[in-house]
Formats: sequence, structure tokens, C-alpha cells
Amino acid sequence: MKRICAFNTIVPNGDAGIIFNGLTGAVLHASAGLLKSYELAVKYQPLDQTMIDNLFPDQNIRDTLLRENLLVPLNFDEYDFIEKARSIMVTLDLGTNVEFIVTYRCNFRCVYCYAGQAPPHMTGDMASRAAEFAADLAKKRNSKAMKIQFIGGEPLLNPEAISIICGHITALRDERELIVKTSLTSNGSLLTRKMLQLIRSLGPVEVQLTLDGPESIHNNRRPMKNGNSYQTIVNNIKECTQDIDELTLRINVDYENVETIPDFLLKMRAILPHETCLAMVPTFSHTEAAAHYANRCFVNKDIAPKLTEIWSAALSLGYPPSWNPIPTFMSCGAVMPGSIAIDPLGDIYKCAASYGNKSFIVGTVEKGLDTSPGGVYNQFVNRDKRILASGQCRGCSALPVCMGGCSFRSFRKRGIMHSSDCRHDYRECFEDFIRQYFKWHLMQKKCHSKAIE
Amino acid sequence: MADVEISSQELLSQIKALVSKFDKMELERVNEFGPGGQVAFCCGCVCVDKCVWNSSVDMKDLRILVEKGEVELPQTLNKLLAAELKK
Repeated sequence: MKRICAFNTIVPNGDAGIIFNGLTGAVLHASAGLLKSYELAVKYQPLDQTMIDNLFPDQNIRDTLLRENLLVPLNFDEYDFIEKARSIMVTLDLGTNVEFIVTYRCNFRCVYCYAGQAPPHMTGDMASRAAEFAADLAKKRNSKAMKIQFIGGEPLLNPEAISIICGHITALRDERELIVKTSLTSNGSLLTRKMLQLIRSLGPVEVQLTLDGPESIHNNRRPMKNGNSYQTIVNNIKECTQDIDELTLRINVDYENVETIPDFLLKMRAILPHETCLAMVPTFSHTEAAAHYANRCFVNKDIAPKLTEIWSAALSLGYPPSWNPIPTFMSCGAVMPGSIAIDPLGDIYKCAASYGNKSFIVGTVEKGLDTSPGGVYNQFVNRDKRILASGQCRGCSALPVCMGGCSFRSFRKRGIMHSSDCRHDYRECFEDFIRQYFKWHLMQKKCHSKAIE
Repeated sequence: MADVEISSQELLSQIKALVSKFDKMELERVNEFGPGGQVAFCCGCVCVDKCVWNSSVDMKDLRILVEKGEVELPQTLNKLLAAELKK
């Protein structure tokens, strides 16, 4: 006996549809006829072989349904499989991923900034100690690979700390033949080829910069002291493109700028490298510092339609999808044992969103990590396991991709990390991601033109 | 028992009649992922460009590590899935 897999998501696509299998990441084009039979299968399951043969008379279709796990044995436990996959993934955590918050200071005064008051830069001495801590962690974990990330505040306000950290990690890399990748999250105003070449000397660099739309809108939302931040950033992008391995342009979106985004993306097509990824994300007012901005953020019912509109515009201009529907079996990199962030004071956190919130400190570079069973570190590492065990996301086909959402947002909402940060109010976003991803694949392959139509 | 069998037969007939009216059925995977797809080199999971097991590792880098024998491959997701489905 067989039944429909609990993690199939059906997405309408014109007259036909798309089936996404959350356990494997398979995305399939399904004709209208196939979908009608599929609906009958859902209605009449469990299905014996006779029923399957009648619902899907074509042997090739039956083979595909089984091969891609769209139909599974009646006694197959998808949730048990997800827990096993999650457990393997955490055990396999090969790398050490360290975010260095080299400063909380920023030369911008963004209207929606969620960060609070800024403590001092990371000193040169602290940069050395933080880098040594990261190196020791990689050694203890016997890591073969590291990811070194520079964030802030605006990290390029503290080039000295970046330089010191790069020096330490270069020595470690050469000593242990580590594979190192780097990333820089910056507002873009201080980007120089020299700094990029320094960071890139460690390993390939991913850079995320932010432009919030056309010049006047961007400058109003992301004002820079003594200058036109938009023009500065655009000039820096043009200047530095050759020193960036992967560029992501972040666009914070809300009622104020959403209508301007399609034209802005068209204009940026002439400036950005062709492979540039877009991170078009809604602004939120979930911290006290950003509470005043709440009335400009999308209300939940508007999030999906507004984002769908600009994602479609981006795709039509040849930008790759903002996100790929891949079952990672983890909610966020912060739940991985080898992932930490070190701030200017030497405090260690697990999660980017929690910086500065003292109750989320998981150690210091002086005292090391607190890995006690009930501590915050282990609350992160065990968070997804607890989400699964609680059954609170049972029935949601997005689970292998979402795994209960953001731990920190869960904490902000309910005071506990192992509560689901459910975004069901705008679940259409998930379905539209699948649709965009599907179309992108077809565009890349330049085939299946009928399915695109 | 007889009633159930008759009911099942009727149901099958109804389904058969319905299905015969549907347009031509098509079902085709468009991406690389999945058990029937282009399996990633390392563990047969869903990665293409980057290892989803660890975002800091590029597939090509991990491939080098495996070739050097520096990474012991785990039980693969696909193998695990196949085993679970056979239970």
C-alpha cells in the first residue's frame, strides 16, 4: 500500500502545476491531467496497486512518482527520516564558521536599524585574541574548512581588526592546509579594492551590500554622514567588481519603496555583475530600536503579494531567484555546533540577530564556550530536534526547508527558542519561491518552453 | 465484505472514467536534486554548488577532501532515505 508523501507541496503554475518534494528537493513539472489524478490519489489514499494503476495508467508516470518519493509506502515515517537526516548533518558539521563583529559602530543612520547603542570598536588586542580563539576552535574540531565572516555595525570602519584577524587565520590556514571562505557584510560606502584583496587573500569572498532603491529613496532610508551614500556605493561596486567572488545586493523592502523596485532593478542591471544575487527582504520592527518603524513595515497579509511582484520582476530581468527551496534539515546556521560570532568585547554569540542581548551570550574569548547541557549554546544546537519532537510543525510540507524558522524570533515572541517561528500568514512566499526557482531552472536550460508558458 | 468489494469496484470504475477524460499526463523533474536525479558526488544528497551539510564548504573543496581521504563519508541521505522506504 502507498500514500502521498507528507512533504509534497503543490504550486499552481498556469494551467499546470509544480510539485516540490521537501525530503529530496526535487521540483517537478506536473500537467493539469496529472494534478487531477494526484488530487484523486490524495482523496482516496491509501492506495493499493490496482488503484495506482488506474489513477496513473502510464508506467513511466508511476515510476517517476515512486522514484521521486511523491508516493511512499504506507508505513514510511517522514518525521523519523527528517530527525535522522538532521542528526547526521549536525554530527557531520565539518567546518568552523566564525563571524567577527569587528565593530557595532556605523557611519549610516538607517531609518529601520534594529541595532541599539554602539559600544566601542574591537581593539587590535581583542582582534588577536578573537582570531586565536577561532583558530583554537577550528583545531579542536579538527576542521578542514573555515568560513570567516566580517560584519558589524559597518565592519570597514575597523580595517585594523580585519587586518589582524586575516593575519592570524592566514597562518592557521597555511599550517593546517585549511580551506577558507570569507564574507563581508557591508553598507558599501567604505568598500575598497585594497580591503577586498586583503580579505580575499584568505579565500574566495562573498560580499553583501545594500541599496534600498532609487537614489533619493535610498539616501532617505540609509543616510550617510556627510555624503550621498547611493552614489558612493554604486561607484564602489563599479570599482571593486573584479575583487568580489559572489555579490549579493540586499534590498530592504516595505511600503515606502516597494513600488520603485522593478525600475530600480532594471537600472541596476547595467551596473551589477550578471550573476549578482538579490536578497529582497521585508523590514521588520522586532527590536526596541526599530519599534518606531512598525507602520512602514508590511502587514502580514501584504508580504506575499508584494514580494511575489518584485521577485517576478527580478526574474524577468535575469536575476537568479533570491532563495532555493533546498531541504537543509536545519533552521539556520546558528544551530550548527561549529558556528559562533565574536563581538568587539570578546563576547560570543550563536546568532546574528541576538548580538548585544546579554542573555544570548554563549561564552567569551577568555573563558571559552559554555556548553553546559541547559545553556544557551546547547539550546541552539538542540533547538531543531526539540521542534521536531514537539510535533508543533506536523502537517506543514515546508518543514524540511524551514525547520521551525528563526530561533531568536521564537524567543522574542514566546520567550523560548524551541517554539516555532511560523510564517504561515505569508506561506504563499514559500510557494512563490518554488515557482520562481522552477522558472529559473527552465530558463537556464532553455527547454520545456511549454511549461514556462 | 461483498458490499465493500462492490463499492471498491465502483470506485475504480469511477476513477477510470474520470482519468480517461484528463488531458495527457506529464510529470518531469526540472532540477538536479532528488534520488532519481544527478546525485551529488559526496553523499548523494541534494547539493550542487554548496554542501548543505555545511555552508562553509564548497562542493569542489569537499570533493578534494574526499579524494585526499580526509573526510570520512557519512551514511548518505539518499541511502538513508532508500533504507527507510524499504522498511
